[in-house]
Amino acid sequence: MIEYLILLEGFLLMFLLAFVPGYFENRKPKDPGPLYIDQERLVDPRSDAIHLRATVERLLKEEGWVPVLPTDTPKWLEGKTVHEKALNENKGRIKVFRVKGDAAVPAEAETRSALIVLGDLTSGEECKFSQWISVEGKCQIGQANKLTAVSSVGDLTIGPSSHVSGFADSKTNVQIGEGCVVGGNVGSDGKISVEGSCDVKALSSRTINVISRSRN
Amino acid sequence: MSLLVDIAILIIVAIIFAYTLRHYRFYWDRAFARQEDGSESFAGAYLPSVSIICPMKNEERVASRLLDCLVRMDYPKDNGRYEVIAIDDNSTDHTSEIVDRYAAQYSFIKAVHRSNSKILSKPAALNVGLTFAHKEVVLFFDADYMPPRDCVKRLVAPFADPLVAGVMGRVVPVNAPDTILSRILDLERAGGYQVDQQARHRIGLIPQFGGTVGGFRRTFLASQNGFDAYHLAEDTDMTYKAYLSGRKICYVNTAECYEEVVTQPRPRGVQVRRWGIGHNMCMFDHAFKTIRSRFLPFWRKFDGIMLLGVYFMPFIQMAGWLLGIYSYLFQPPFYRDLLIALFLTLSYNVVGNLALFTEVGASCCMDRRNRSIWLLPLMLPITLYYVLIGTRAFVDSLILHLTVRKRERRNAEEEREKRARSEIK
Repeated sequence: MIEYLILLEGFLLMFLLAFVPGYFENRKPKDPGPLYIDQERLVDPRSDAIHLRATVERLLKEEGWVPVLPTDTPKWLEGKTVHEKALNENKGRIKVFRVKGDAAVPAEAETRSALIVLGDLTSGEECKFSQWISVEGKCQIGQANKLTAVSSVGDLTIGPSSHVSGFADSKTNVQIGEGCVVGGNVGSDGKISVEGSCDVKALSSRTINVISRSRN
Repeated sequence: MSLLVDIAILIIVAIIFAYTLRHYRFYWDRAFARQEDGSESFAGAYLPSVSIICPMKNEERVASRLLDCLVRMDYPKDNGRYEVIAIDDNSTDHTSEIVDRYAAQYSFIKAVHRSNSKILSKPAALNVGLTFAHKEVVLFFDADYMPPRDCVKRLVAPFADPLVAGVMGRVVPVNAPDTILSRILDLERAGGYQVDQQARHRIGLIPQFGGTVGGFRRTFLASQNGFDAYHLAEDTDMTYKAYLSGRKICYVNTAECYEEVVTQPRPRGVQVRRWGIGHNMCMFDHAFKTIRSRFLPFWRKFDGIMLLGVYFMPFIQMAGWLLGIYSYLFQPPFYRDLLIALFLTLSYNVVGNLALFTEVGASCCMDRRNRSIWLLPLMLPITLYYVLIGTRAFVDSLILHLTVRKRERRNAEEEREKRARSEIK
């Protein structure tokens, strides 16, 4: 009989334990009240870039950034202060690298993590970025690079024959080189200069300068 | 007797297992598949003329809040492309004055007053609104909703596809922190929309129009002679009418809108019972049509049947419990323990009418509200409450179907025959 009582007690304890965290969360909620919806939000061709900036801003404020292990650090980031953090997105979990200061990516380098550069970013030829890039300073992408999406606060220059599958957006000016393909929106608060030979899905800026070069 | 009970339990376990797989499929798709939506790229680019119908019955507390949101809506209001039809539906408070005030102030708002109406139902009020709606697309917002400025542009975008008959946006409770019940309802909504509806939309199954924060093409509503004024789930009824006529419904996860949810168990019980009766009526009306439909591919039919059965599940659940207890006490077969363990495990994963637990947990992660997952076990008592209410709703709907509706249908048929005979003469 006593065995049954002990079993019952154990079961009840386990059952009730499941409710304890919920009780505390309900008494002192840590998650913010209702899910936030910006009531002033508008449909904007640059909404993806705005969303990324908001995500980056939130991420930078959050805690939980850990220094990247030397074994995981790309060679071109050696000697830099680099931290990492996981980000859960609708498309799954991605790793984000935060780089303090300027960064220069050598030619043909491949970066699998999303990148937040708190200075300027320069990349060489034929670099490949598998996730988005957010740059607080100027961003200069080299020739024939492959990118997912890029957002910068300073001027954004994309080298000739580069391929951006998503958007390219800057708070200042954007310059798109010859023969580039941009699968998303190119947006700028300043001026967009784009070569006539480019294949761009959409442009949104007050000033758009399309440069047509003669073939001679 | 023992064999019959065993077979019944096996069938119930099989049905619950099918629902479990369905919910895991949705979770898997939402969590790991690439979420692309073609209609998103039309948001802001495709701008058809829109009528927005807002039924209001004794809503003086929230009427002006909704109308303010609709006044501030980012949508071209020139050339009569945007109109709001505010229906004062037999209100006894100051709703009619509020509606009149806005109609006097803004040329695109029409005030419609219903009084001493014979049929006091929401679909009846919507049908009155439809007679005043002349635009291409008709959207519906309940009085306690707060659409953000981009909501209409996002909702109308899918109509660029001529096969789309209706749309549905995402509903988010604004008063989630009020009580423990509203927090749990917030979790239910998150799972139901962020995961369930979105996955059904993406996989190409049957996303459902939920009666508000959504709408239909006006020509489609006209072809169906508006809503069934006596129906308690006119939204589900119209969803199935759309699919059975070869059209489809789109769910737009980015068209989010705040709503107020009930905060006390009793009104929630009334709400669930009403939905349950209405939904089961849809099941009786559309289940065979869905199976026989020539427009629906196999998986859409399969999901359509399962969707129709969500308010039948509490009854199944209750039957399973009772048979399980009976079997345990009086007719123990050799595999009894295994069956009961399987039944309990499956029940834990999917109970009753909602995509619980897994889907809710996933949606909390997607909405970045990880601490809310801690509240998941608290959904268990609410779910048990739903099983009781849902069982009662199923019995009520069955009685209603076999008595009142059968009589109504017979009368309607007699009427039709009489009319046909008189036409022949």
